Amino acid sequence: MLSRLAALLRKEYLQFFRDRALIYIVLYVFTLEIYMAGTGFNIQVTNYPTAIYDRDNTQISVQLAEKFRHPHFRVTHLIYSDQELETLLNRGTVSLVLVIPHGFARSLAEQNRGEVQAITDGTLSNTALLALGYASLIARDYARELGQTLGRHATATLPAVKLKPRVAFNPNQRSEWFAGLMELFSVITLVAILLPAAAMVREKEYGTIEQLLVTPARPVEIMLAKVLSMASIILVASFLSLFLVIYPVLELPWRGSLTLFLAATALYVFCATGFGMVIATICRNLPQTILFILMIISPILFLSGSWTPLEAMSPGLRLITYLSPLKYYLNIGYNILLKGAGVAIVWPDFLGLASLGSLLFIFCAFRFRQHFG
Amino acid sequence: MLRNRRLYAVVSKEVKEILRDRLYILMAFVVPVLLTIMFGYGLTLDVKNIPFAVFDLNRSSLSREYLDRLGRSQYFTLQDYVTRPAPLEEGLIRGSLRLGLIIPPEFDRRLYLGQESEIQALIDGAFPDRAETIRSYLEFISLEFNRDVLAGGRPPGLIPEPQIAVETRAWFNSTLESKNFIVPGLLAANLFFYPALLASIAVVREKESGSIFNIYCSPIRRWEYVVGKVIPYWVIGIINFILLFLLAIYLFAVPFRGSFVFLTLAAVLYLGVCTSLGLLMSILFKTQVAAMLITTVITLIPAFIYSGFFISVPSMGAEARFMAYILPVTYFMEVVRGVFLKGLGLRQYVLNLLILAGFLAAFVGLSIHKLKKRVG
Repeated sequence: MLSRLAALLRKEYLQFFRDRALIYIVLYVFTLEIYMAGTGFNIQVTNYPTAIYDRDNTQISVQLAEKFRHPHFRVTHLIYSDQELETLLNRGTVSLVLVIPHGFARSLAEQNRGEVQAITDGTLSNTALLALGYASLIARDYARELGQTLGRHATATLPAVKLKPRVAFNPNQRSEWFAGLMELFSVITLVAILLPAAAMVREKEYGTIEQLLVTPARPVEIMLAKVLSMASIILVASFLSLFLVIYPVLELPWRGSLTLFLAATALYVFCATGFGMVIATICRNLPQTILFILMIISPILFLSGSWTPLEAMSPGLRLITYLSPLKYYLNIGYNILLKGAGVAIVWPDFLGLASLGSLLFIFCAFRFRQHFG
Repeated sequence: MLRNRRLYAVVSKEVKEILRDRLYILMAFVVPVLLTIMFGYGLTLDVKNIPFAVFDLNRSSLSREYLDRLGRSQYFTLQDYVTRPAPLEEGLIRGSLRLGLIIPPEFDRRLYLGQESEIQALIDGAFPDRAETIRSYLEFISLEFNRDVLAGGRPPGLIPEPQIAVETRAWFNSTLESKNFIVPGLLAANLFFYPALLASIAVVREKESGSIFNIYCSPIRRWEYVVGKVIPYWVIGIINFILLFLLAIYLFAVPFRGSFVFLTLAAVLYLGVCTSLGLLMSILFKTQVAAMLITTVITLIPAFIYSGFFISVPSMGAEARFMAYILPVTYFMEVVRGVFLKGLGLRQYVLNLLILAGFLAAFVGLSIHKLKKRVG
């Protein structure tokens, strides 16, 4: 069996490495692409483009407006009319307009209370919500500051609950760790499902699978050769990605066991290629394969807890995520690499991956035998 | 061009090939609909039901009131009371908790004395954006708690500090529903990678199977071949656009404030761009696998992360902003959201359409230029 497998493996490697373009693409996605996503992707509200519409024009209103600055806001326009406000928001040139009404400073002086308006572009509701939150905090802090200079009472000696938040594992909330790792996981998923599926369907389409089947190699061995060759290529590529990009450039701290993570990656690739093989047993040609891959891969990529928090999903949809290998791998990956978790914590996810992968391969072996046995 | 027999021949051959494959033609229309439904319901950035546990050393009515307020909001779900701090950290590492609270023993006593009392909050930082959202929710609920529950305890005879109220308003999406930006966004994202991928093997397939030799020795011109290959997938894309548009309006009830005619016009242009991008990849690469992989890589994930789908382009880092501006999807994303939610039209988006037209000309031109009518 081993010699047959070795021969088949050799064939797979030859086929892969003969396609120069393919090698470059794989190298690109595991290095540059991860760097781009890691450094560029930032979901927090920074430099939110802001316009100030100061109708009060007093020392106090100017002071308040000055508080809207880096890191959360960047004032790009000072405007003087309602019409400008409308055009800027419509065009999306600015996403927030702070309107300070006439009489703001007087109202603060006389009634100890002032009101301003923050108008956001609600088309991106998640960032709009955060930006409005920051605006309220800025106003509160400024009011407190003003109170101190005016000799009015500050809350410090009033009874108050004060929050002392600490962000664990990533105290400075650096998004490049999260984004870089996520891109790595996505890329692994993409390559591990797409390449073996396409390679297998191609053999079917051109009939070369018949040639393989008349050799002494068994169907299982043909399948195994595809999976093993792919898995080893992806493992090496992930290794490169970790040591060329994620640790040195994105400065991910060293936590957790790398061996454990690579073991998880191997298991994950096994599981993901299982999906590829299932697709390959269903499709007859590559156009069909593309459609199937899209249908399977996009939910795996975007609904596994990476973008959408699982706890915010509807219960039915959350149940479906148990079929997604990325859900387990994401847990394992973040838990090991970011939080330094060990086997004691990640074993249930290992178990989940292993059982899902086994199920897929049993199904494939069955289909394969039906087809060609 | 309309009476061009050679062009017509390529189109009709391609259409026949597509129509003959029943499974393919069925899935070509079903897959984008399925994806939109799945994402429309599933893809949300709303942070809700955050599982948290508390180590309450105080166990007073005030601490319970505070926790009640958290639990009653839709944002937090109390999982557990723990009696040691260790399970909090463990839950965070395991991922079963996103937040751990520690309430100190003298919590209520200090408050009754009119002092400040601290609550420690441990937040899972693995997902930085969620951590930030969790923190701002907590701040907000604490503010409310201070105002409602503790306001009575103000020592008399002091002038309170001034208040600045921020009246907040969100234009175009006043209830700030994420559905209203996700679903139109999906329209742009799906229609980016989908036609591109369909077209990505149209030519390379013929190269691999050798049927391209028929083209080499036929009198057909290069532009006729390229345009003939683009048209069928372009049409599939346009039908998909109409399906997805109907889904957005009727199933997801997204407000539509603009002009359908203008949106369709822009979509037709945009779909031409995406289809010809796929076709260009098909011409540039020698194997189907390579063409498929590169097209997936440059369309599927970028359609979501660089296009402005989740994050506005101006707040991105320089590298990502560069990516955003070289991707056609970014320009159409603006148009779709603008037409849907802001009711804008041609006047505001002339530039976007011009840029899309530029992409179309560039992709088709490059395709024609790179297509070789000879071996090698």
